[in-house]
Amino acid sequence: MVKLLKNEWRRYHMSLLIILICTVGIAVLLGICIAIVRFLPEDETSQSITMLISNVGSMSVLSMLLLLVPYCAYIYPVISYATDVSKKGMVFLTPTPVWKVILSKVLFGAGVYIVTSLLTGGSVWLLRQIFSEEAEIFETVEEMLLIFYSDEDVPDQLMLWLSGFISLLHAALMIMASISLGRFVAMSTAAQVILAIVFYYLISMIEGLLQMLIALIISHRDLFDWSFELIDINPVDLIFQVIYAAILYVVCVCLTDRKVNIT
Amino acid sequence: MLQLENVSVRYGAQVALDGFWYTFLPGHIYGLIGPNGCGKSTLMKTAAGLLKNYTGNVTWCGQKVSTATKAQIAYLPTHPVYYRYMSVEDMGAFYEDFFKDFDRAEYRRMISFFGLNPDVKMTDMSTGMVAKVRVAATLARNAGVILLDEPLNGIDLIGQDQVRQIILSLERQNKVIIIASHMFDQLEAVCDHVVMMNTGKVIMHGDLQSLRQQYGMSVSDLYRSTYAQMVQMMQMMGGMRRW
Repeated sequence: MVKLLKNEWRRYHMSLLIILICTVGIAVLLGICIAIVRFLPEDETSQSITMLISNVGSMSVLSMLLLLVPYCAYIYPVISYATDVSKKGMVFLTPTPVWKVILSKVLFGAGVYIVTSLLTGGSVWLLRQIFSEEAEIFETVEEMLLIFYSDEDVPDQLMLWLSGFISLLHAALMIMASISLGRFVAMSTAAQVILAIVFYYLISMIEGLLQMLIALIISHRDLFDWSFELIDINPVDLIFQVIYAAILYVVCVCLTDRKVNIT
Repeated sequence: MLQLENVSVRYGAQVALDGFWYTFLPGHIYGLIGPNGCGKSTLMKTAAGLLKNYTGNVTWCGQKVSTATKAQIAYLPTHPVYYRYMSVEDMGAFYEDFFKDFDRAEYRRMISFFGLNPDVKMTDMSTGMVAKVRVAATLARNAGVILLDEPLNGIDLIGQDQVRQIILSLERQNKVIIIASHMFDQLEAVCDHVVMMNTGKVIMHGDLQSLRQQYGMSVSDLYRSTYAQMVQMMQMMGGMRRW
């Protein structure tokens, strides 16, 4: 497994490093801008500069958290899997079982999610410390950061993070299972792509139906609801997502093992 | 020994292997020849444990070919298979990580023999150079079975001589070496056995020396005449059907 993860790292380390540097870079730049603003006189020009930084800062941090982390967590396993099951899959020439190969991709995605969230989380925490001193002028940023980080709501945020983690890995496995189903059913590449999209929607529909069914079966659903201020997370849904992701993983492994064709 | 018993593979309606029977014995270099689309690559992939949708039996030393047997079977696919990040050295590192029988020193020696720079990225190399790296990586494995599918594709004349030299220098006492090619005249000097295929079946096989003596011509010429006769027959049959 270590060797497989090492191979994944070798394949994607450059683009990952760029993303990680950008993540930290945005936070550092924002910090520098704030430091500069502090030295400016309190006139109209300074006010508008402050507003500009505030807005750009909000957007940057938002994009970091809402786009970058999810992108890394599920795009990498999907890209890696899609490349390997195509004609370029060198790893399938090796005596490594398919379940290990696919698991390594999922684990790599999980690792990326953890590292990027730690980095963005750290950046947000730092910004939060800085902005708390300038709460009046950076009100917008302050409010936005509160969604992601607040000293009072640590369990909420951990739950939010965990649900994001499970959802993204579940989404990655859904795409991977759809690709494997498309490849299993069709011969031509075009048909495989179209069928993968169709299967993706089918899998989503089945999941939705099953979730509805579970909601109906558990009549005292409210008992399972955990009350969170920031987000309404149902533990039953989370457990269901984990089980569904595990099933998709098994489907993906079986079909990939059945139809690995690298040349 | 590598044994294929009544092996059939279909791609939809197309039959790639049609009840293929053959036993490849250690200590020999087999030339697998036949026209394009006769099933050579499918046979190689099946023997390498990469195809699962076949009927019949494929065994190596009595063990059914599977993911586990890939540890003892070195396979060179027709198409270049490598990751974009890889340099020549990275290719060696990958093989060393995943194959216990890979000899990194031997790989480096072959790379130097081919006159290649180990630090160059595979994506920056010509087709022939990439082919040489892939041949070196495959042959640097001390595997029981070596399957080379069109190993000379894209390689220049000097490079072809070098590949032939390396194949001949391999310690082959306990090895089955199978080379699939549609350009057999370039490999006749290397092989000691030949298996001719057509439409997924063996149509002729045997010791190269015996075949030469029996038919009084080189195996390349025998191959040409055999397939010319077959094409002629097929044309005649087509003509009769049209009548």
